[in-house]
Amino acid sequence: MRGLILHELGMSLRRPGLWIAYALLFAFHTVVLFAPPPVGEWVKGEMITPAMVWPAAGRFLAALNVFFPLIAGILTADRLQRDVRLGMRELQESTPLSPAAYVTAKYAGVLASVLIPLLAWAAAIAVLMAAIGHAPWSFVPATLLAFLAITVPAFAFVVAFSIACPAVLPLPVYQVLFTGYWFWANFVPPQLFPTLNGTLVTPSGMFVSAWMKTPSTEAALDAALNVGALAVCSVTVLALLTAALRRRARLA
Amino acid sequence: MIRYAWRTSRRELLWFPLALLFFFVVIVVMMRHPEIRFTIARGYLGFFVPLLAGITAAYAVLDDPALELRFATQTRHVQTLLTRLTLLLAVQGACAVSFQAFVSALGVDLSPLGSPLDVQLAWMVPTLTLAAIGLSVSLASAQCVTGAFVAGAVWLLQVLMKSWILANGPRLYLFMGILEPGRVDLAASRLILFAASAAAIFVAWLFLRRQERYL
Repeated sequence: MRGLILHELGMSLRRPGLWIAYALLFAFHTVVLFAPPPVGEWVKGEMITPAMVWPAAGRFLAALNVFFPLIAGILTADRLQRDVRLGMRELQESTPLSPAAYVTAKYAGVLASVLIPLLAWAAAIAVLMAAIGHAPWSFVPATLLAFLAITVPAFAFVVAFSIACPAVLPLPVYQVLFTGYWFWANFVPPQLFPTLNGTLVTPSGMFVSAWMKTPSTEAALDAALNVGALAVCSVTVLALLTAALRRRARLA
Repeated sequence: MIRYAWRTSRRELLWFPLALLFFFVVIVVMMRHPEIRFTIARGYLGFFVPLLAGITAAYAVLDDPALELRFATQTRHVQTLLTRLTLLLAVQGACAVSFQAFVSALGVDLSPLGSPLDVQLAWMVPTLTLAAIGLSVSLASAQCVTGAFVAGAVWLLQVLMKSWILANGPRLYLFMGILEPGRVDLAASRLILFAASAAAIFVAWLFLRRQERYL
């Protein structure tokens, strides 16, 4: 299992597409963070005070949740299909590897591959901000914890669906639907149009970010329920995928 | 040539645009208020037709099991490229025109977008641009999925960061014709986007000529 995860992680990390997409978005976010208005948000002399560390970390990671999960979702959608296309699936099915172990290893490897570069970049930005005096050093651990609470659940949710759904949908169809879903479920105001935005299955990180901004028992409960709901959805969709693969293997 | 391309292309090129068209037709019928109907019609033409074109264009050339055979024939690369792109845009165009005919029959007024020509350009320009992006990036990276996510990311960036793009590079805003039809730089924006699309398709052709990259 460990070997399979590392193999999947290595394969995913070696994809040029991942690095092209992430490099473009890293450049974009770096410019937005460090350029003065109207291009960016950098106001000379303004700094994050110790009291503002948690809200700033939450806002920073929530901003990264706008585009990066979309990229991760589209990019990881072909991971299972790729095995079938290249004839690897038949070979894997001839080994003692169970569908559950296959799905778990695939999921863990792919998820780690889309999270690692982002974690490295977010940590580097936090260290840079602290080093130049724009934020206190406590901003670094706050960013890492916000990464765990905001970024990881969103990516875990998105990658689970992106691995499972193309098993029943053609790849381009899933990618179009996913892009539309990401906009509809995260950014369309509920007052404008019926949407999942604002519900507990919103993966944008809005609940955790709101809790970091104004800590309260109610906000903490909402944040915990949101993360829990995303985890339940992720596990459910992976379990359905495992069952589908098991059934396919039995019928083959 | 077109018939061959049609027969060998993926079936979702036809059924998915039709399914999306049907979905929007149902929503327009369900919504009774004229303003909401206009907003939905604008959303379908200006946002969903281009998104679909962008992502499917990424698969137009490379997602072909007989690609090696095709390279072995006398067919010129430009012919392959333009045939696949034309087919894809023709399907999207047919859906967009059918949808306009349907909403017009329902009495939805699209004149806030400008003259009949402006209405057509409002969806054609972003559709062509995103299709050119999807196609050229997939050929440049030799991976369909890369073209798909770049087209998707550009679409989302343009949808979410409208005011930022209008402040920093308005002529590169894909949805000016659909969201800001009264702007004075609309014609210049259309010209630039059209030229950029043509350049992207030219670059895609240059990449496709190096066929050993795709074998």
